[in-house]
Amino acid sequence: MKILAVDTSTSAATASIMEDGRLISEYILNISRAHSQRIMGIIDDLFNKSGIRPSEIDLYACSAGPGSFTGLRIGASIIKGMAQTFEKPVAAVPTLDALAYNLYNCTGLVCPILDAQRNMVYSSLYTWEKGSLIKLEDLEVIPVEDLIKHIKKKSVPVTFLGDGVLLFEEDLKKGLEEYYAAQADSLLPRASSCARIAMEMYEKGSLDTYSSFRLTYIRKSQAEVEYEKKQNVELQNMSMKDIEQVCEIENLSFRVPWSRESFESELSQNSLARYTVAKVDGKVAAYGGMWIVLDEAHITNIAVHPDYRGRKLGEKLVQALLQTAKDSKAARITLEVRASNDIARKLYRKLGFVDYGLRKGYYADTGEDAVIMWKELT
Amino acid sequence: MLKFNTECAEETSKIGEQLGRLLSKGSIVCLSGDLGAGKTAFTKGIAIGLGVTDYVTSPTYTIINEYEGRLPLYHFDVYRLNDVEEMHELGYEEYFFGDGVVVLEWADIVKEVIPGERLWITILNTKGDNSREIIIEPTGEVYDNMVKGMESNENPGC
Repeated sequence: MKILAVDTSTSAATASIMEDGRLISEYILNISRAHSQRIMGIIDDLFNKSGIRPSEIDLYACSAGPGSFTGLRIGASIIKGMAQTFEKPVAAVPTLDALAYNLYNCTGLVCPILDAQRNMVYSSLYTWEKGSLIKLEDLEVIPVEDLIKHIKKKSVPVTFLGDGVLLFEEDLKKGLEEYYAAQADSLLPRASSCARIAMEMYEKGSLDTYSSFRLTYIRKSQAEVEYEKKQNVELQNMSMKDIEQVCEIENLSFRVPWSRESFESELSQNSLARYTVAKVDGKVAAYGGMWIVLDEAHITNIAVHPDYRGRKLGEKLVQALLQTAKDSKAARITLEVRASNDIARKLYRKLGFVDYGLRKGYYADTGEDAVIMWKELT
Repeated sequence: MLKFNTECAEETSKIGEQLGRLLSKGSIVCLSGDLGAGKTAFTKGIAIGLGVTDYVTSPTYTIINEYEGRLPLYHFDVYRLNDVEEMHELGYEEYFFGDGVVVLEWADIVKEVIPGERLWITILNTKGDNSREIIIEPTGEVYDNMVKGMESNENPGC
């Protein structure tokens, strides 16, 4: 089993070939961000010097983010291009996990930090337990100050690594009583770590194809953040006193709306049902619900008031439903959507739902097909 | 605010070159003006002032071009963006808060994400010939000083 791994998420461009857990070759070039001009040459060198042909590679591994947007795209485009050409699978390796792999079985906590600009870092907290890496916390994008405050509360030593160390070493040293950072050989991503995780992903069967492979940028855009600040959205469980407003939205949204009584009985008698409302400034602007049957969640309805459409309320609501389903130990979640409802289908795809099949003529009013979509929650 | 009147594209470019010599790490230069106003000509001048030897072309289709000079030059043309959201998808922050100089054509389109401190340059074709009016408006001390550095410059001529 030969793996070619590439990581261009930081200022270091690195590529590696591994065969059955044996490192055959690795290249790290940390001179600037001009990866697009260099990474193909590096890969070519790896092949030439090791005598391995590109067609012999069984699995392509790519550091899939977070990290430099441009850097990630360079790595991804190369890996996708090669995987498509040679018809081989792709392992989308989380960049922060791969960094933590640089410090095998390190004691205490491992905290990779990657530059996210404007004094923020992409970060997660890990610990090693008997040779297995465990992610303790996903910190996503966090201002360095907040990270320092957070780390201060930890009672065990923390070792930092990643390009954030180069930028924020002074702040970290000043802010923390105990400060450790990985040394030059393990500070930045190494493609061999990426390849090791790819091997594990292969064993678990969690691989992608060149077309299903996606980068994870994590960062909520500044625009989204500012927009959210502007509107005061609250997500709550639906209560009886919301039903009047819910029915109003239901009537405005569907040709065959549910009756008030249906909602009432859902809330009062159906122990499988979970209903959520999104309120803007105290008024119900959207709602959605599902039934949780054993380990499957079935979304029954989702609607956004016409006055509040285009504000990402639907997305927030579905995310809240996903969270509720996960909290209720559902392993997967499904829904039906009108084949013609492009906006909704796009949203569900964005949130990880996959088309699974069609129910022909499902909607009695128009005879339209329903698309069945599923998402795995584990 | 500083104003130049130029008589031909070469002169417009030379004003850009004067500016290019003064730019420093993190400088953001926003260019505003109609199609054919001379934004790319002006940028070519900035590139020369930054010591870029590559041939500079408009990144209308690539959106960002990167050049190596005294400092890296990140040349944006956001004409094709539909929404400021796409700037976030591009990862513009890596360039705006990076190690080089940003020159942004059609800056009006993405005004929301442009930092408060910047140089705003409007190029006007008021007479309908090759002459141009170039208005340079600085915000912030760094840019005020840059403009002061250009005040005593004489028109380079065609």
